[in-house]
Amino acid sequence: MSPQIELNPVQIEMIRKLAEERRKALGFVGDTPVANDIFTILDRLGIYLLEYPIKSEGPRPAFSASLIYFNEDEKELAFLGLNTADFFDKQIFAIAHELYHYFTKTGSHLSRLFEEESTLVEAEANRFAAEFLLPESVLESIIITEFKSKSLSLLEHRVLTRFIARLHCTWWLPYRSIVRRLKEINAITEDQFDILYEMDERDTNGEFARTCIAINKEDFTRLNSPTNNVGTSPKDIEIIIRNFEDNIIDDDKFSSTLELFGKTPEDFGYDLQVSDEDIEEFEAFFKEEDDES
Amino acid sequence: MKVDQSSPNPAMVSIIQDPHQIITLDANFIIPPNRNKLKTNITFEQFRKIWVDPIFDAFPNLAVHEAVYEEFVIDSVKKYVDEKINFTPPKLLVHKDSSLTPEEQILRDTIEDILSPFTKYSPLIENKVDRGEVKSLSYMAVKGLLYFAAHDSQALQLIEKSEEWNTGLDCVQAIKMYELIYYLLKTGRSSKDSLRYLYRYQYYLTTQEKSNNPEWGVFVIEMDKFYGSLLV
Repeated sequence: MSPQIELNPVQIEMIRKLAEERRKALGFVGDTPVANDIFTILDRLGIYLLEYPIKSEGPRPAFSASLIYFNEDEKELAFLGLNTADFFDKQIFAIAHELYHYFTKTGSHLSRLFEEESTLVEAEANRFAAEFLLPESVLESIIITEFKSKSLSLLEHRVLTRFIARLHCTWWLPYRSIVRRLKEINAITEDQFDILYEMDERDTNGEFARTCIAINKEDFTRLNSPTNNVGTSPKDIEIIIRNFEDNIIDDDKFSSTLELFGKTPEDFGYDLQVSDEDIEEFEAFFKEEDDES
Repeated sequence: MKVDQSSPNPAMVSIIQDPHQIITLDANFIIPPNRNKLKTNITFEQFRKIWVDPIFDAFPNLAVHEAVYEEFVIDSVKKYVDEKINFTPPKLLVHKDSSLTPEEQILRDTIEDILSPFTKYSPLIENKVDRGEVKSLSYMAVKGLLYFAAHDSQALQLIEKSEEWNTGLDCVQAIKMYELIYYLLKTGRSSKDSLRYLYRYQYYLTTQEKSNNPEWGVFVIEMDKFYGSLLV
């Protein structure tokens, strides 16, 4: 495991309680997976979701998600930008991670998952995301029910891999988060953890991926592919239009922002075209000025 | 962008009366504009002749924040700006954050945190988008500098809605490009025809702009009502 900040039992308990409270408040009781409902949760919390694929340009991963919130006239506004060039399971985890910052108001934030547990709050947010998507009590209960033991230390590697594959396809938690989770509750040994963490879970010829494909090909493929969605809700589009109408953004910014989401000002009744006559006139003027220069 | 001719701009009145005051510029006062609706756009050489040179002639104490200076990446623009900065005495001042005292730095950070949610700049990740505007305005607020000249709706709104949005920029006043186009016209510092094209290019190009903004002749008549007597 890369050097991680260790949370103390008090911090872990607080996160566990927070996740439990929030899950309950949102109607996820006991062993109900959040999975794809994470997007509905954003809607219910009034968080504006902006989806856009941004591929990494260097050795550092591109951002996973970004949360911005502020108050205006005592009304809270929150926006979550989601990098859909990331694998879908990481997108889900990233949203849950940002929900921690949203619930605890630990600052507007940009995350690169698995790269930055360099601060306590990031370690807490990752722990919360895992707890929110798959609560510790539920995980322990599943293990005891299935294996009649709290520990998986004696399990054969292939059985353990198959178990993780089922958890992955049911709870939609990234493979590595599940492995960490199992270590956090001491269900697996240090050696098991090291072997599991070394595996390339996305390699479709690898043991884990092949097992997942055999269990639930559809979900595995979905979770392990970037969605590359470009989208936003009608509410977000309305904000862009209002910003234009209130002169917060100009014609060009209005056009280019809508273009990001495959829309044009004309779709909303705004004519930002330039007449052919004006285009010709400007081109002649620029040419004339150029000749003079 | 909307041309507002509802009332005279006190900042404009003040710099007409004393053009020697420090005016802090946003990058888009020096970098040539680019209207994405046109195939051909104005080059720096053209923009320099019509706009930038006359502005430097008209106002001897222009300044940019160092974060705005970093936006001058086009060779011709950077060379031009460097010449202005290195001239003796300098024709362009550079506001540097290193000149802030520890107390001023704390205040600057606070203002940056207030401004950034209204922009695409995040102090957390130090991204480039809107960085120049946020850094300039925060510096100006701390140092009590009065005039910010910009052609960016967002930056201008941060100033004009300072009370409503609590941006802490109450002391800063905005000067818009169209106001200075008018100033250059009336002081004869650039060709009338070029300034008319620049106005049309920036404010009267799309169908939407033509329905919102006055055409050149009306624009000048309305500006004359506010500032004509000061510029005779």
